[in-house]
Amino acid sequence: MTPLQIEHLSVRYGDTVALDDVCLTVAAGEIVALVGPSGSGKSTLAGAAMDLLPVEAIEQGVVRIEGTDIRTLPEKQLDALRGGRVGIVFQEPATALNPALTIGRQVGEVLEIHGNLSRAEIRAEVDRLLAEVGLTLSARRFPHTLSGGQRQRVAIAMAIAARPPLLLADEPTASLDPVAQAETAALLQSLVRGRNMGLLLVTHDVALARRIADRIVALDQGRLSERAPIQGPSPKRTPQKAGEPLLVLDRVTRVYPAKRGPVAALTDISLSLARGETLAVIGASGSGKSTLVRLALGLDRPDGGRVTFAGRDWAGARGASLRAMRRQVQAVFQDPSASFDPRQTIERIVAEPLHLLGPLPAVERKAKVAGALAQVGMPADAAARLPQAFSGGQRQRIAIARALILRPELILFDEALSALDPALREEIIALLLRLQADLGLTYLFVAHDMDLVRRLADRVLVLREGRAVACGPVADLFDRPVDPYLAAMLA
Amino acid sequence: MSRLFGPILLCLILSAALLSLTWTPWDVAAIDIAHRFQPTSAAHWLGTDQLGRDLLSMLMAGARPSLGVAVLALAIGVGGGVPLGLLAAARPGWLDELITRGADILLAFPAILLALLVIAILGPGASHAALAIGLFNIPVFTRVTRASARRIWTRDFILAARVAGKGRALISLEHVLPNIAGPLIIQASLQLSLGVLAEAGLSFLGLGAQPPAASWGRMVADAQTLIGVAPSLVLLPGLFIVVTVFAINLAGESLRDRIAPETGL
Repeated sequence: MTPLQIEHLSVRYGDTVALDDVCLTVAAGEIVALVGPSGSGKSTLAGAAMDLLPVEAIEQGVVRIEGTDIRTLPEKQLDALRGGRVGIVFQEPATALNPALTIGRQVGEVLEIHGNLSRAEIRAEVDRLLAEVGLTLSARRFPHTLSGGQRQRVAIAMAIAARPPLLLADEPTASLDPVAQAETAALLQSLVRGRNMGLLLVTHDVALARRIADRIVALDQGRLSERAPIQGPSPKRTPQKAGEPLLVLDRVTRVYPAKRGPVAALTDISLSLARGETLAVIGASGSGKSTLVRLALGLDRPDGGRVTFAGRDWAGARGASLRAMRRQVQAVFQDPSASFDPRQTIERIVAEPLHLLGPLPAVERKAKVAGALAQVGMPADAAARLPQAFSGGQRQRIAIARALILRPELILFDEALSALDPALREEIIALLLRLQADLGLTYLFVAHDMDLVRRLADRVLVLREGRAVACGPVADLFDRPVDPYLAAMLA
Repeated sequence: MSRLFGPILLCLILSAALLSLTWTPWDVAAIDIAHRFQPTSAAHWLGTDQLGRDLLSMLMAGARPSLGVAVLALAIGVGGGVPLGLLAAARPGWLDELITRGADILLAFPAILLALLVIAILGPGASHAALAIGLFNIPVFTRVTRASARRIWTRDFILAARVAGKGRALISLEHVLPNIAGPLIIQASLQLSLGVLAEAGLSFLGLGAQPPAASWGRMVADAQTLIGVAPSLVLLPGLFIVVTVFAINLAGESLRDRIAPETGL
């Protein structure tokens, strides 16, 4: 029987049409990827498959799970349906698991609710499920002792515990590092094949969809188009002749004290970034990327080696010379919702780096803010509003405006594009390339999106557990990855 | 419940206290033994006490030490605790350790005993009671401020401010303090109502405001043996204490909802 059949489903919230006459079928053993930009109705469609939508929102249409119209079911049977007939894997495994319960308890709970096994049988089944998702660790572990990828495996074990014919996965790899992403995708694929389940994969990662899905359907403003989304003409960076070295890390080591002995975040890292060049730093989470960013920004000091900017050592800089250095290096951070003070207006946020220039007349400050906003394509009236009023893409433009206002030489991007969906990312990439060409900026990207790295960077530094495992021009490293770690990320 | 109920109730109590500065129906200090234990009448709305003083006047004037001491103690707590907490959060390391341990040690003392000690040294009186209560507000605010501020310090916008060359003091004032207003307001309303209770307790023991000034706590103490004869002499001041505490808590919640809704506890 067909795991999921959606027929002519239309959903509207007030005046907003969320889904418009959508038909979608997921067959047993099939992976259907549902892609589309934020706000295209992906979550609404996933919610419809769980009957989690408010009744009055559904205008017309039928949702069938294994042939049964779920809207005719009484609430009791719906509870059995959710988690029993339909398994769900969420985006963020850290919040999907209860931190106070062992992973075995949590997987076992699903079996308790959706089945009638004895305690011993449940224990055996839990062990079997954990093995099936590729976890070799004890069921008595607590979620916080696991890595992100391992937690997502536990979440998957919970989702498949009741042997549902249909699995819903909402951005299951978005919060994972590249290695864990690849592994999780492979796991989902093998589970679907092995158990003959249907998988509806909601994602905005087109590369992931291409890799594991049998079919890709695209949602755009509530309408479905049954084909792979066409990639627009993607702007690519034109390599430039590199100038003199701007940022230099010379045999840098950073060790953090910890209870179980010191932890080396970076060991013996050397790199040189020339004026006008773009360098990408890639690596799994915990590989020392963030430490490198803090050192490059002069917010942290190395335990060994030197970090110099335009020939001057961050460590020796004080007072006026430190301020002069700070003016030349700005940054854009990962999460556009956390990188602004929620209590300040956009004007105050964008104007913050002007602090380095000393007191400025209000008129001049306003003019500079307006100029920076115009450069990133934001309207001037944005200045008076609070960051909460803007979407993710707009916020990232604002963050770039803040980084630009002092006209720095170097801008660091700490995974600054990973939270954006592909359409927005294209916009921001085009913007960054234009700004680089116009202003002669130097970029340092910390990223885990290989496609992005390939298009933006001249050179790549690959970090693993604080050590540089590969460094060189993008073309050389990516086309013939010598290092097995890099090869795994590119797979 | 309406979000205005708490603030309105608190305003009523406050205005009664302020009004009593210039006018009360009868003189609070005037003893009139001939008219003691009077029931409710047109002249004495709530009757008179064991010394013939007008109960309504006593209750109005009694709000003054209650609220005054609690507010003063709160100011001492906020003034001392918030800067210390901000400092501890901004300077992880030995300074943080010193401040946090200091606060822990102060909190480990039985508060009432140490308040009695302070008053034993300084002598009884409303301002000394405020000092004794305020001393214990300091570690409470230090801890709440430090814990909330440390959460804010991990956010990216703090990193952005540091990249903008701002120092720790400026970041604490511009970014951290506004973002921890919610928990601080809730804590302030809790400490204010605890202050009212503590003042009532100290007055009950005769260590707060001294006669002839009226005080709810001492009214309860003076009339406790008369509870069989004239229960309202004990019950009414007690009721005023309870209602005041209730109103402060409600008003604190409304204020939090108004100025920092996203930090709902």
